[in-house]
This record gives sequence, C-alpha cells and structure tokens, in this order.
Amino acid sequence: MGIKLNLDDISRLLNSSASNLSSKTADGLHAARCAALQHHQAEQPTHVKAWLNEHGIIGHHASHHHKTLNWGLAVLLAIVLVGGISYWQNAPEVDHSELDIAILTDDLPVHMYVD
Amino acid sequence: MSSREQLSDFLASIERRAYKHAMFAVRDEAAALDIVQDAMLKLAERYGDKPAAEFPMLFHRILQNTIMDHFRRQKVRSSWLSLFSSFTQQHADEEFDPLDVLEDEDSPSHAIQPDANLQQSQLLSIIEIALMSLPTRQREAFLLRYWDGLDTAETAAAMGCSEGSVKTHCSRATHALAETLKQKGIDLSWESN
Amino acid sequence: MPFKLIFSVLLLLFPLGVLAAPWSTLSADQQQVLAPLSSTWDTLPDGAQKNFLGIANRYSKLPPEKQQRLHKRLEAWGKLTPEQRHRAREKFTAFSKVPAEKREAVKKMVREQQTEQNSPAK
Repeated sequence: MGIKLNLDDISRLLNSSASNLSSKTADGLHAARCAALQHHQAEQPTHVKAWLNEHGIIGHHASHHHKTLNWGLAVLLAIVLVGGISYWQNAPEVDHSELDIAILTDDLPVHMYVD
Repeated sequence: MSSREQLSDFLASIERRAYKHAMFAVRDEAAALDIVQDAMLKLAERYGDKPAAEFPMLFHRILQNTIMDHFRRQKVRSSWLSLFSSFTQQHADEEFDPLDVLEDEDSPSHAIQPDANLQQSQLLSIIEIALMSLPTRQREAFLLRYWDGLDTAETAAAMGCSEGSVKTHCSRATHALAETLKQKGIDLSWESN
Repeated sequence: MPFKLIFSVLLLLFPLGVLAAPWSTLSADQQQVLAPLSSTWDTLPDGAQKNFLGIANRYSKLPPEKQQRLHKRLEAWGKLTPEQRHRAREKFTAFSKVPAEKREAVKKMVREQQTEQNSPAK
C-alpha cells in the first residue's frame, strides 16, 4: 500500500491544515488577538479618548448645534414625562416581584435560568 | 517584562495551531474560537508581563484549562437541559436532548476509502480523525511534543503532569495512531528526521 | 451625524410606552435599593419598573445576606429583555418543582464548577 509517514510528516500536514483555515475563522482569530492585546496593559485609553472627543461624546463643545440638541432633549423629556405618567397610571398590573426576589436570592446564579 | 509586540507576535504565531488544538477537542468551530479568544485574554491579562520565552508553556496550560472548563460547563448545561426537558414532555416534537448531540459527536463515522494514491487532503483528514479519536490527554501530549515542538519538560509543565506521564501519553498516542493509520494502508514510522 | 439618528430613533421609541415612573420620582429608599439600575431605569418598560418597585418595597424585609445577593444581581437582571425575564421565571418555577434531591445534585454540580473556575489558571 506504500504510504510511509513519520512524525515530521504529520507535523507538516497539520501545519498545512492550520494555514488553510477559512477566512472567517482567520478573521475571528485576528479579532481575538486584537481583543487580547487590548488587555495587555490595563489602561491605554488615549485612542478611545481621542475618538470620543472628536465625536463630541466627551469634552466640552458648547456649539450652536449642541445647544439645539439640548433644547430638543428637554422638550422631548417633558413630553415623555407627561405621556409616561399617564401611561403609568393605566398600565396593566404585573407583579412578579415575589418570584423575582426568589430568583435573585437563590443559591443558583441567575444565568442558569436565562437562555 | 515582554513588550506588546512580543505578545502580539507570539499570539500571531500560535493562534492557528491553538484553534486546531481546540477543534480537535471540542469539534465545534464557534466554541473553538471562543476558547482560543478566552485563552488569549487570560494570557494577556495575567501573564502579559512574563518573559516571552515562557509564553508557549503558559499559553498551552491556559488553553488546556479553558478547554476543560468548556467541557465542565457543557456537562452542567446538558444535565440542566435534560432536567427541564422532563417538564416539557408535551413539546416532545421539538425537544432537544443534549445526549443526542454528545453521542453523535463521539462516533465520527466519516468513511474514508483506503487508497494507495491518497490525496494530501484525504491523508490529512485521516490523520485528523485519528487524532480526534485519541483520549484527550494522549492527543494533547502528542500534539504539544511533535507539533508544537515543546520538549518533554515543557509539555509536562503545560499539561500539569510529570515528565514520565508525558512520555507514557506520547508513546500510547503514537501506537494508537500507527494502528489506526495502518488500517488505512499508511505506515507510521517513529523516528523523526 | 450619528446623534441625529439616535435621537430620531429615540423619538420613535418613546411614545411606545417606555418611561413610566421616572427615576427622579422614586423615593430615597427605592432609589437606594434600585441604585444598580439607576442608569438604565428610564429605559425599562413600565411593567418591569413596577415589578422592580415591588422588589424595592419588599427589600427591607429580607435577611442581610439575601439583600446583598439581590443587590449584586439586580443590574444583570435589569439588563435582560422582558421575554428573557419571563422565561427565566418559568424555568425557576419549573426547577422549584423538581424533587429536592435532584435539585440539590444540580446545585452541587454548579457550585463545583464555580469553585473550579474561580481557582486561577495555575
């Protein structure tokens, strides 16, 4: 039958198999590596901070644009409050709090009950 | 103290092999990927400051533990599911029995024809299936020694056992592999050049 | 302009019945018990809010160790969808009907798994 292999051949074959992973898997591994490297040093938030700042999520930009947004938000909140309170008064009675307390104080962790 | 580049290089060099290790053990692509990601995270978080020379041994130890954790979780999960399945007998049609899956996975029934002129890919799948059917510890010792190129002491450290048991695992694995391959008309010789 | 988009999405969502009891209207005691939910409170559906208020009102009657446990888990519980909470309640109810020894066996297994996972990766 004539096929002869030694342990090096097996290693070579496995290497060829490892280098032929699907691109989806290779991407997944790459993403996993990047995620792990993020945790190498506890803090290195400079990029993140720069990004957030640039996009106006943190930092102080009292621009005209944001003032309009804030006003919009305030009006929105007011509408929602009025609407919400009336909804609250008409809301159907749902009380699982006894059961929830039992779950939240049970010996088993909550995730055991969650799909 | 190793640099970020060293860690990055190390992870890049090992990620594909690590994935194969996990795949041989759990036989599920998504789970294998999760396991590798988990192991990488743990290495970076807990041992990122170790000298780069220790990475292979440390990483493989973490990988082994992560794979074991996966099996433990699966065990708990499947007994948990079967517990609930007894309450949902009325939905028998859509019932999921974790044991079905487990049994299925235990018997890889891929039919491969013996053939003198095996393509490399066929050869590879024969070898991979033979590896998967080895007991976990034997397979690990074999792969770490002969594929990842760790020496006996490093393999023992990675597996958390004595060098003696590494040798035993390796020798049993090689014998079992040779036996399986022989049935496919393949001659496995011991010495590596 | 991602923010404009976010706001228009919020605008569409709010009238659908979220925001029943704003955080600011809760009593100091309620706020203290529900503190883990403070940041997400206003996004919870009204049924869920009512339910959490029920928990808050019963909280003081619990023994201290149960209070502590509940407090730790509250945030995760609040992050689930109403459907997830619903199914979890069903499962919990089903599990409490399992014969005691079977229940104990499962609990033991989970405990073992947890202690093994908590031990460092050696």
